[in-house]
Amino acid sequence: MFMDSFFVHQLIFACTTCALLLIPGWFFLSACFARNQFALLEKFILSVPASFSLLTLAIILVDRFHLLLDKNTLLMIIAVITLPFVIMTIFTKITTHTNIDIFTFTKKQYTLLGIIIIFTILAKSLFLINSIFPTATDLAHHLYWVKKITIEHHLPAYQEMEITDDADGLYLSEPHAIPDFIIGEHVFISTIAILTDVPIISAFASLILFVINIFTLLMVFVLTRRLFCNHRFGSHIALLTLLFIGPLWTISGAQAKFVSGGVIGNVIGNLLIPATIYFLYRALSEKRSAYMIPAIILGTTLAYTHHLSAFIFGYVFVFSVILFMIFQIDGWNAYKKIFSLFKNPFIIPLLISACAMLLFFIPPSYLDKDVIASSIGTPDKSTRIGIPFSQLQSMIGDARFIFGFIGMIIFFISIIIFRLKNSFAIIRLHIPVDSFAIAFLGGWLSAILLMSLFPQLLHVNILSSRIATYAAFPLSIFAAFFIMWTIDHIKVHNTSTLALPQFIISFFILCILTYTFTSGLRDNATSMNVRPETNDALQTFHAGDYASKVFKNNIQKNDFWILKDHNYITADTWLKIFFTYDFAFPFSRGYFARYESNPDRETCTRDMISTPQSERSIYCYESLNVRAVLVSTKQDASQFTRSDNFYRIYQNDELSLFLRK
Amino acid sequence: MKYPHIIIITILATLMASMLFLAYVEKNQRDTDEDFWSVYFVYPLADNNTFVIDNRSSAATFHYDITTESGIIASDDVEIETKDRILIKTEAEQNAQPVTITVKKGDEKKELEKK
Repeated sequence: MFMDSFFVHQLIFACTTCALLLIPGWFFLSACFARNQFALLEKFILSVPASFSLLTLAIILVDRFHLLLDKNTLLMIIAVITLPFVIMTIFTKITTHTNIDIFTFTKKQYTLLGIIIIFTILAKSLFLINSIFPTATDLAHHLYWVKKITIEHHLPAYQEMEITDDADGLYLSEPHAIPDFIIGEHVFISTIAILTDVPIISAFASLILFVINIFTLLMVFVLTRRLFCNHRFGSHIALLTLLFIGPLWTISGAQAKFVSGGVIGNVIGNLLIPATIYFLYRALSEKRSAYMIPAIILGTTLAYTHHLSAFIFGYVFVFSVILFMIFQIDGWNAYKKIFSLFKNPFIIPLLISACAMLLFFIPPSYLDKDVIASSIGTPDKSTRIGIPFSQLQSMIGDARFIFGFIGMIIFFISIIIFRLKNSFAIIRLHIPVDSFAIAFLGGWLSAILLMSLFPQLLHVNILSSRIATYAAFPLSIFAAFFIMWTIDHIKVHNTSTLALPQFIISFFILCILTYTFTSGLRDNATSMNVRPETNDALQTFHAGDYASKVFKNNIQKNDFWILKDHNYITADTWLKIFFTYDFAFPFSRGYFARYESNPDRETCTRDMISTPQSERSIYCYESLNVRAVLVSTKQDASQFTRSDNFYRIYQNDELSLFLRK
Repeated sequence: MKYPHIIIITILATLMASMLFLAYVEKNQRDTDEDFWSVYFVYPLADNNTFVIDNRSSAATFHYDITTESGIIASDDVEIETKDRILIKTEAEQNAQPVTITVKKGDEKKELEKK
């Protein structure tokens, strides 16, 4: 009976997640675009970023009007953003999707596509078996805000109190802004949590990210197919790209590891970047201004979801514009055509609304001059001065990096020759993509490579290894392009004659595939996690549940703070979800090295556990109203049991909770 | 059925199956990996020494002693099944403080105090 109810509940959760990620976007695209503008599979995949964006922006706007974000309001919002498009879709004249050539695959290609998708999902699931249990620190931080939204039914102000030690003494500061969190990361997950009543401390958030990650890969597949729409091996390049980002290298980087680790902004940013590029590319290459509408909506959502992704997208856009200016051959005519897109009566008002919303009406938390100043300028830490080539190669994967890099060199040499000779014959022969595809492909990869390898050139002051994870998708596209370019050149042009004996060609292709599979699967194998310490985490949750219940009334009075240890307690960050009082609650003794490396950091949290009887610690306890301490029994209980000022009120196999007299 | 439809159904079916499977895996890990026992005061801030022995390990006999300044004032053996817990209510004289509550399961010992 219990199992039945568990599966029914999970089925409701899975269906709700998929429905919310597909239905609003599907009807938006159906209503706004004629059905012959998307292939069925293409529209299905595009529905996910579109749904995510519509829902996120609508909820952010509704919250601005102080409406309670409870189940009824959320259902109402979903209805309001879906029903008008449903009605418009019903009255659309064309009733079936027409076949779009570039998305018409052969039977073998469809079979291969299905196999790649199934293996991708299976490979990620296999990794997640050992990492689905909620213990990741990042995920706990995000789910604290999700829990806050589900309790308060409002989007939160990202603030926390802070231990301050200055001339006025030692005290807890008034809540101050935390720019690390952005509302778009939490809106969709909170919506699912409110609608399905799913427990916050569970696998649900990772499962949502899992679905988003799968559709991200499919989005890159669709984008690649579009960018190579004029290429005679476009389908092969798209399928190979999916192979490079799907079943191979499926865990490391911004893939399954980020899903279980709860790196929410990055996972969503990776979906929205290619989706925005897709609509921009179609608007520019097809001169259809209607595509600008989803591009603006997705770009705005990206800005509300993840600062790093938005920042990277900004650079990608600038690089794409520069490459377009260099490599386009139509002169002023090309610019005139681009500016004519803005004649659509919806574009300028939509752009102004998006800018007003972002800059004045509801600015995201990171649009703060201090935060911007800390991200732009000369890199000030060793982790931000760029990563060596070898590190980038190991992060991206040997085969993918080597093929991608060679593909990029071939790509750029070809377009440089093309630009110098100003001849279409060369570009048609070597890189049969239009100037917009050249701009976006080149801009996407070159911006990320420069940002991660030589950030000082672009005045980027952000963790270089984090930026490098974004290179995986464009490098995979270039790797696929390189393989098909090589195969294409083995054949004597415009004939079916092979330039080399068939067995040499077969051997060569076999070598490439073997190297690719070995490299990708080895990366998957080495990235597998060991089983987490589930029993230890459950003991932490048990202690958190106890403390939150017995101290509930005291905590609300703000004179009862708890301190816990981050060094020896498994999944300790999840404790803040039990209390959901302040992001800083309970106080945490951080990693010891952090106190040494930062002399300005307060030391009370360390001293109160390490030496609870020292004068300094007693002063800290009294000044900060710390009344209870949760520590590992084996590592830290002895200093408390020896003291007359503390007594143990809770003990499990791993942890002890002490109360101060 | 056309191929694009088959691909879409394949994506949805595999995703849903994976989501259900992973949710089950997480629940299963929660149920099967749980192996600990705990003791705690019900009213840690009040003059009431009522406490709980919460058993998330295999079924066992637990022995507890309530010790005040006048020595051991209460002592008993209790049988607790897996995933069960038992509430030990303390009477008036057992609510004296300071108090030490010692609970043993075989060689394992846990202790609560009020000073």
